[in-house]
Amino acid sequence: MRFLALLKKELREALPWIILAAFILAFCGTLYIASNMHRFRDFNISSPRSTIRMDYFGKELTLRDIGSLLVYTSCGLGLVLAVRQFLVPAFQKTWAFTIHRSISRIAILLAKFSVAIIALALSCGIIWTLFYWYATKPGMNPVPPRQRIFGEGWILITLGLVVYFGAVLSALSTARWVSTKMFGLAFATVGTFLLLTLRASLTLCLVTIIISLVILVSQIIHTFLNREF
Amino acid sequence: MNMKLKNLTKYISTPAEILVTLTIFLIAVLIIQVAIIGTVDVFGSSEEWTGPPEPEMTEAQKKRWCINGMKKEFLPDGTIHLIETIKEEGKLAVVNVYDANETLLWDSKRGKNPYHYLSWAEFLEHGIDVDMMNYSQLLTPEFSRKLVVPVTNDERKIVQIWRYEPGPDYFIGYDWKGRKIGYVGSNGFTEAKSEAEPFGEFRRVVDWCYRDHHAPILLWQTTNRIYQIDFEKRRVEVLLDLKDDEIDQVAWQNWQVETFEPDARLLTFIYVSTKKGSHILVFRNPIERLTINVPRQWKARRNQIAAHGDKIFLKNYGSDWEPPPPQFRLRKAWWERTKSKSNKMWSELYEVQRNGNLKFINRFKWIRPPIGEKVTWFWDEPDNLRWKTRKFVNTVSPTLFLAYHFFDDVPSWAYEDVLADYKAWYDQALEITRYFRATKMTLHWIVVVLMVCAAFWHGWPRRTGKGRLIFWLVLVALFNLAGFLTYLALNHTTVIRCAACGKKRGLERGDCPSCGALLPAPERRETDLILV
Repeated sequence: MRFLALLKKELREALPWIILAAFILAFCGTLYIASNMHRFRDFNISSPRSTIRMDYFGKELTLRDIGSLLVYTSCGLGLVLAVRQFLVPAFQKTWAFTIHRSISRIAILLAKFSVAIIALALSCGIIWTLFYWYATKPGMNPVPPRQRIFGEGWILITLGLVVYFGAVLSALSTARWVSTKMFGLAFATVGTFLLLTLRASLTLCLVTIIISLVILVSQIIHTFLNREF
Repeated sequence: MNMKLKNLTKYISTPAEILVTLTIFLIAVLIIQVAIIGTVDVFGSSEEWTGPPEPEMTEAQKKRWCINGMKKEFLPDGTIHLIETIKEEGKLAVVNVYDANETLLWDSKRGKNPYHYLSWAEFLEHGIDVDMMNYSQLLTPEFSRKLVVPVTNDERKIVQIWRYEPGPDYFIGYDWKGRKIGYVGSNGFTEAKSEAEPFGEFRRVVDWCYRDHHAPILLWQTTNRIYQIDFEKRRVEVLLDLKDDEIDQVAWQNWQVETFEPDARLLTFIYVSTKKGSHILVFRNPIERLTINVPRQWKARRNQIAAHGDKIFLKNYGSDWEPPPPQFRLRKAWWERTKSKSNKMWSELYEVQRNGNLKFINRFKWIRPPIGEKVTWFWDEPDNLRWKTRKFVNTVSPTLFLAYHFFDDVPSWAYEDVLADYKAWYDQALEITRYFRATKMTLHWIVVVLMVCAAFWHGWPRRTGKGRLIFWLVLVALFNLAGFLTYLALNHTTVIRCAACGKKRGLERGDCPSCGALLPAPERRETDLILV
């Protein structure tokens, strides 16, 4: 019950950000899809002289631009949630109230993590699923997005979780701002950036994300259970 | 539960913390190195180092090199012409045509070239190759990409698409409404997934489209097969199946030109050379194959094929030049051995007979002057500011970079381009370690020793155990500056003078590492309520 109460409290605090992220993703995503669908409907070999060539435009035309939007939204939401959950209580000096409730520290941490996962799934995951469902509707376009694209979208959303945990580690660190405090966030940001710019296979992306999560979460738990507030 | 978790996470979080800190410092050091080299590039000397000057050639030498540089082309009757092209400001300015005795036959001032030379089959180097295909599968913010073949209707609107699936290695077809319409594999078009068979290990695909066709036709090359896939007619033809051999090179002549005339049959063919040294021609309408009996001693990749009328010709070009050895350390000796030697060069024309045998037609031989007359090969490292800066900056690079490239004998200055297209991330990472590995070895080792000594000097009074101290010293030695910064970031604790022995001691452990004395307890005061 106490855990649920804490979960509700965290969810209530995160709700404005969840709605904002979902709105941004839904609004911009719809604009992108509308413009891409228009381009795609006009995609025909109109000139009689032009020849039809193979193409690896398997860029999944309708959903192409949603990918970067997913990365920005999920990473942005991850960062904001970490600040809201871990940095704002430090500035408002309310940690002591939370810590000294009759609930274990690990339960507090779990409640916050659960809210972050729910937030990403609600604001980015559901919207992404709706976009994918719309793009794959029969008759919508002749190159329906592959199932793999759906999985890739979810991986891009998970990058937001990596940034969240990186930011949480930075927020919990007792080091100074000018020393190693920001290393958690830097690690998550650099990892996300390298993963997307250097290009990796789906399996490698998954493995890298899981390893990054283990590295960050283990440090967060250790820090949170040991530090004094 | 909290206590258990506390202890459990300690074993994961400590190495994780080291890994995070080390990664950040490695990247930070790398960024600083790049910034310093870049700054020197921008604000340093603008002088470009191009190595020692090229030797000055005499007029006689220039003339001999001119003959070497001329294109040797054959007329269909076997006559050889030497074609000199002179470029001015990158544009073709003059073309001169000489006979084998170097008599001028024609120059570009006289209008159009009256001679029609044999036209050689074009080697397939375009289309989508295996690297491009693999690269497009990787995750980006715009998602991975796949090869798609469209099929249109008479209004030229797309009505079907065939998408290549690299995993199962076949095409899946969809209609306009996105419904599956079938599969295309090595065994042709099928309706059931279970019946579709893979094409084989992909190598390259090129495509073309006839004028009134509604879909492109693909020439699909695997390691040992060549397929022709017509999506409009839903037909897959195996043009070549080598079974226990592998395709080395593929060239085609007019294959993509639509023709039904029987006398033009010889003009359209595919030429394939294999890894085991076979040379095969594939004709169409109907599909036939001819193995050319090329002498085994001929070197690979020195043959070209052309067709003219009802004849097929093979050109072989060669020399007795000794190619450079792959090992860099052997190249200086090779250069000394070969630079002043002239080489015999030749270009021979053969007719390919119906049984695959070769009939000699004509040969042109010439002597290539010693290469040392024209080129200066340098073996010493550059002496420009950029290289000197890089060498100096790389002294703080991790020693581990050196260990990885221990067997790599190509000097670091020979590498300039760090990142290239279509390279996997691990190849790019290895290129970075190669570029930034230390080359000024004495200075590098001095820096490493200094770092280790500094870490030891800092860590000795703060030691909590010998094993831990040794671990940190090894890490500093392996990662140099990044390792030292990691050590400092994670081990900086306050030191005090031990009340018993007077030596410095850290506060990480309760007893003094020198004398074993415990930390002094504060003196009792009257107001203390709890007595220990």
